[in-house]
Amino acid sequence: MAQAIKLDKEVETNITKIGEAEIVVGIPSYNNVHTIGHVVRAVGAGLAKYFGGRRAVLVNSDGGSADGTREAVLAAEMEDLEAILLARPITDFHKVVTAYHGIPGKGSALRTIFAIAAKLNARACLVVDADLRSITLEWVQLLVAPVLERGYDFVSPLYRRHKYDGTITNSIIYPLVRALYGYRVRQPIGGDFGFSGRLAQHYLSQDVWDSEVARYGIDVWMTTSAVTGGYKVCQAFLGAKIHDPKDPGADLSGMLVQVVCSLFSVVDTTFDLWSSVRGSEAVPTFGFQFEVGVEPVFVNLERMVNGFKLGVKELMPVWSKALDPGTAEALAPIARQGPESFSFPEELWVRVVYDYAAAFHGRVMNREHLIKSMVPLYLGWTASFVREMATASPAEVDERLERLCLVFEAMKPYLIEKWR
Amino acid sequence: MAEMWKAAVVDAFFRFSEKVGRLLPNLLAMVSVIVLGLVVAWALRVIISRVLAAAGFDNLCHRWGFDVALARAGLRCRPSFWLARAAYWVIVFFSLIIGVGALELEAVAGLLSTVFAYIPRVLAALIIVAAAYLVANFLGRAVLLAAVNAQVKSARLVSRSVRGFVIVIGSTMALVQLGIGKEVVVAAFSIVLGGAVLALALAFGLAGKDMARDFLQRRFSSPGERDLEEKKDEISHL
Repeated sequence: MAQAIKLDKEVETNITKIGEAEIVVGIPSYNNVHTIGHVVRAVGAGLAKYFGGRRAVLVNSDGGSADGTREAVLAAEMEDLEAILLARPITDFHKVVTAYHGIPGKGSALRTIFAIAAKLNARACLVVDADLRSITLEWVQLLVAPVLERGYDFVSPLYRRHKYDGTITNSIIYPLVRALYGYRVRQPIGGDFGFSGRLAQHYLSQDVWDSEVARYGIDVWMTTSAVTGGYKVCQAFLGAKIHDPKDPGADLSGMLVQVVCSLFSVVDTTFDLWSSVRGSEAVPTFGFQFEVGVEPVFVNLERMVNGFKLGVKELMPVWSKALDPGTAEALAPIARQGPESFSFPEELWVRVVYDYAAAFHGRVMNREHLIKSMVPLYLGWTASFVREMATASPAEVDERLERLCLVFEAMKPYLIEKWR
Repeated sequence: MAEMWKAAVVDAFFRFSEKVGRLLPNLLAMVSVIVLGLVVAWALRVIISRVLAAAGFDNLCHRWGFDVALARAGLRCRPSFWLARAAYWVIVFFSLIIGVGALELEAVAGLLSTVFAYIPRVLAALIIVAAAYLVANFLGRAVLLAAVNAQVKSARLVSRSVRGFVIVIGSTMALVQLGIGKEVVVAAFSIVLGGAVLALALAFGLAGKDMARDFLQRRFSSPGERDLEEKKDEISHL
């Protein structure tokens, strides 16, 4: 059982004054002054249009921004709502701005939001990123209505992304969650979610806030907890997700460690659940799906291939502790290929992921080191995928990923055997 | 005269038998202690071997890399075997010490107290060496992974250097703890370390000045200038 979280005195007073709320919208932030005002206005307008008359509270859980982010949240006004909505809306909308405590990261920020939602007895909650540029009023409806009106507990986002984006999601997280737990939640690390008040209480009660979950791992943990906890799960199509450009390759190994460690930690403790699941089923999807244009993305294929080759040259003694001997042996021939013909077979990739999951469970070495050693293998698979899909359409890419997922499902007995 | 001679001989035999009579029980005690010690040592070896095997000690050693270190030293059996063997010989050693002590010889008493006073230092030195080995392996692997993921070509060299450095420090500390040539060891370590640092500084400063300039230029130049040299991926991995 997790330790109870302490909120600031001012926040407690504010919450007591508000009393109760049907909807809580959480926005975790850190130095997002240029975008958060837009997000707050979009959320406010969305609540006014679709949930007018229902009491809603916006909670900004901030990580100590020094650029005026919190002030931007308080200053964001919706004086032009009549222009947006073409009608005078009824709003019962409050704002709570607070700093969060704990390990710096989105997980700690969301924990504060869960705690406030629990105190306000919220029926539905919504979390959106503070740097969104493509958020619309409909996002609020699509992520909250399934909870309030259809009784769902968790609404996962579904975006249209560039075919090369989200490779960790496409190559590891989505296929693994699908194969192990039987639910086709397409983007389990979406970042923008809707969930019920009772699921928020469940999240709050878990003792994970001193782990990788508190950082990058929160999104995948929320999704897998909802799926493994027997909660009603659905998806909502939101279109394109455009947010502030970050340095995309920044600390890939750190990202991989936090996300994959979070997922593997859940897998580690739910063997009895996933070992008996066979196949997978689609989850209900809300929202009208449409195509969006996406900006081209540059990929330095040679750098990725070189990263993989360096791994084969230097990390074999480390890999031999994690990988099956057959899996490790199959990697050397791939390293002899050039970037123009580089190919990483999907069965081999699935064996790599399953070997690592089993090695994580068996604690063959320090877990952070274990997942960091996976980076060159991930680069090799990604390079192969990018090369093969260079001229493919989005539909062809989806077909390719579907094939990968089916291989994950077919090879599940391999993981179960290694686990035992 | 004959009487005196007879008395002297009898006296000598009497004194000898007295000494033997005093020594014999001590000798018997020594033999008993040694035999008992051998029996206890054998029993302990069997018990330790079985308990460690049941507790997964060999798997733990494999995870920490101790089995690799033993194999490099030519010790090919399982770590639990060697630990049980070590326990056996420790008991035998102590049995010998206690057995010899039972003889109550003055010369031996002083040696015994010196040996017992030295034992804690030996234990401390063993702990230092084991800890240094574990830390060296951990840091070496952490550096190797960081260097490979940063695509540093000499990743293994850097990793081995870090590992070697930690092991040398640990070994030096262990030798100082044992009091073996303390001043010589400290002086030798300082000279070697200082010499290595000076050599590296000269190598980088003289031979690698162009590389250093390139590194600093890359590090402090604007992102646009950097991207022209090596275009980074624009993939959003999550």
